[in-house]
Amino acid sequence: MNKYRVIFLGAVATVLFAFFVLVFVPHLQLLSVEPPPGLKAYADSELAGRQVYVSLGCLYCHSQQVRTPSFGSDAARGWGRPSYPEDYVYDAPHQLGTMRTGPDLMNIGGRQPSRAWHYAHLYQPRAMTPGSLMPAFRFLFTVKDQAGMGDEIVDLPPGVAPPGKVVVALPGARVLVNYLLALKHDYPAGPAAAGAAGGSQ
Amino acid sequence: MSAAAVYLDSPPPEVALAERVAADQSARRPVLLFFHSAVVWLVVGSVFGLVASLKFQFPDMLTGSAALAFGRIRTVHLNAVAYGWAGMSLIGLAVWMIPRLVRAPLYRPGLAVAAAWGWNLWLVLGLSAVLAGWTDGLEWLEIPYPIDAIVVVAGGLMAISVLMTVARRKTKHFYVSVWYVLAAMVWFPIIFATANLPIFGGVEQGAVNWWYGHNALGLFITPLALAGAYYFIPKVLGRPIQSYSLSLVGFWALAFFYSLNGIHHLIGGPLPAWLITTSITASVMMVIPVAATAVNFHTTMVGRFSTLKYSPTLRFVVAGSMIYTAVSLQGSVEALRGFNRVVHFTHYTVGHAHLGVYGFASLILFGCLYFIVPRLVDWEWPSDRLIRWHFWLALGGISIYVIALCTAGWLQGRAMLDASRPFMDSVELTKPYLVARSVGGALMLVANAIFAWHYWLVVRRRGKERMEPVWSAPGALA
Amino acid sequence: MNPAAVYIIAVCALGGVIACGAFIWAALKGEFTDASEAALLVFDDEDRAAGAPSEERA
Repeated sequence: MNKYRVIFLGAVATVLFAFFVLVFVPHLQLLSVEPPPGLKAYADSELAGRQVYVSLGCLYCHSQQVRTPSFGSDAARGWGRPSYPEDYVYDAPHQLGTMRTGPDLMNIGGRQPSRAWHYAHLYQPRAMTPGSLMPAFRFLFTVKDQAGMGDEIVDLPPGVAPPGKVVVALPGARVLVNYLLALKHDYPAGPAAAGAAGGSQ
Repeated sequence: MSAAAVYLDSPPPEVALAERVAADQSARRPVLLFFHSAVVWLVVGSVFGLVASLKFQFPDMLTGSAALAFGRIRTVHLNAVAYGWAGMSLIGLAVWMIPRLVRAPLYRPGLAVAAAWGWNLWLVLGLSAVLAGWTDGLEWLEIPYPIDAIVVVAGGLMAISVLMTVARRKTKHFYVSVWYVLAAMVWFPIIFATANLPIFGGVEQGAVNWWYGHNALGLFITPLALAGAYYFIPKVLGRPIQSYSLSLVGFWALAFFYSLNGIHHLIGGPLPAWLITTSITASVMMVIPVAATAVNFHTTMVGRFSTLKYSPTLRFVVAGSMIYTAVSLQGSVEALRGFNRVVHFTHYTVGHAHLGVYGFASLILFGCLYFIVPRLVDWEWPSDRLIRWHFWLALGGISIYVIALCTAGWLQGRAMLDASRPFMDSVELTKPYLVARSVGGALMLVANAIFAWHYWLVVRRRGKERMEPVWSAPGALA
Repeated sequence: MNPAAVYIIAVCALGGVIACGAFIWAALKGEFTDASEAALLVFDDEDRAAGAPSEERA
């Protein structure tokens, strides 16, 4: 080829066409997506926890998208109903994820509602799940001789905490667990919800 | 060779020679700056990569602070090797090739120099931000978007310099490498700037994320690496690229299909089914440009494979090009729903990604640098032994790495699909393969360190002075 | 019909027409005629100061 214009304009055209097909048209389609009645926006402390989740890169081992039964064993593992676009209306940045070194977390709040479990698991994952590869997020906690007023003590199996000390959750851990417990997408969504809404009109 | 047919004007030989020397000199400073920077990022990025990998063997290692958390170390690794090593060395390669191929000096080399400094500043600030916890939270786009403004400016200056050089060409035709460089300089600023705009959210942002992420590979790293292969294979062989038509098909099919691949990262995810199918289709159609390129390279090389014995440039570039074919076909298979169902969310993807960025792009880059650097610093590589070690350790490292992770990923995926097996089964079975991954990664780090050391020796003009390339004797290289 | 499909088909059709037109125009202007001379461009440069060998030797 010997015309600059051909290559330049051809390159611009192909990338913009791809943007049109992969982003713009889906955007138009997704304009009709409404926040589901069962999904509340994140509370401030949950949003702060989401920031901790994002900044620590939990995304690199955990997904937040439940697949349909025809595509994966997600439902059989108790990970919840399939996820739909409306489940993510309050999520920016999205944390859909591309790895499952650890389980999907879309419904972890429903599956594991124990605050104490989450604290212990974040402090030392292997204390709660032997063989786990998850990092120990020790820096989200502090170790004290005794707990103070309003401290949330982490309930650890024997031998995990430093001897004679208590492990207390720092604010980062508290809001992170608030966020994890908020991850519960069990309200109706997708075709089931659309059917129900249509029926009620 | 009829020079007159190719040139727009046909200057007398001494003018033509002066033009060529000017073309080379104009690019020297920015190219060296990009290459120096890239080699530093290669070592930094590799260290972060090995640390991240070792955390799978020692999950309680380096857990005292957030900056050392796996999620941040991994992010620094990816950005340092993708944008620091690959990005900067590919740009340096493009800036070196263009003035030669269009017979015009680099337009305002100062812009390119500023671009190199800006690119480094972006990475240093951006990755420090990530370690401190400030991140955009999207894969391949982690560096906070206000800091990204630096590279948008730097990249813009770079693009102006290269595009204006091409616009002022003195050749009648554009060589195929020029098409790829021109296109990449158009593509990368568009996708990068768009994807970093803070206007997206939800699943739509997922689509933007992976329209960008895959195109950072397909419309930036791949075209520039192919430009290098299209230049050096014929150059070193002394034999022109075999087929112009195949080059055309390869280029336009890549432009059209590769750009549509991105959503294959979200197969099975909460997006419209037609969107996912479009990307799967485009991913399979990639067979067309990949086959065109493979046939073109092969028919150019055929009968001359013995040159691989004594030309490190060719050895690295041809290995990288063969891996390009392999990794692209692997990608096409990975996108098929039946296969994807098993390997999505597993280490298989990580193996594939490394085969592409290291096995394909980096091996080609090493080959290109082995050729270019002596010509910039007027000093030959001092040691053929270091080159040999580099090649075999790099190839060995990436082979172990990819075989380990692809096997692990397949088994991991099968275990995850079987709900009768506890989730921890899928984790436990990967552990021996993750050890092999650290071994492969360590070999690559050593290979990269050897290359960086040798690079330092040659730019500092150490070792004995040679009048001929270190590998010029037949059989000198094992 | 799915509104997304309408947009896509319309734009693709328009794009296809423009692309065909661009292709025909470029072909008529000789963009795709076999330019084997272009392949020789990689050989025309000196890699060092004038007179020095430019390629790795066999």
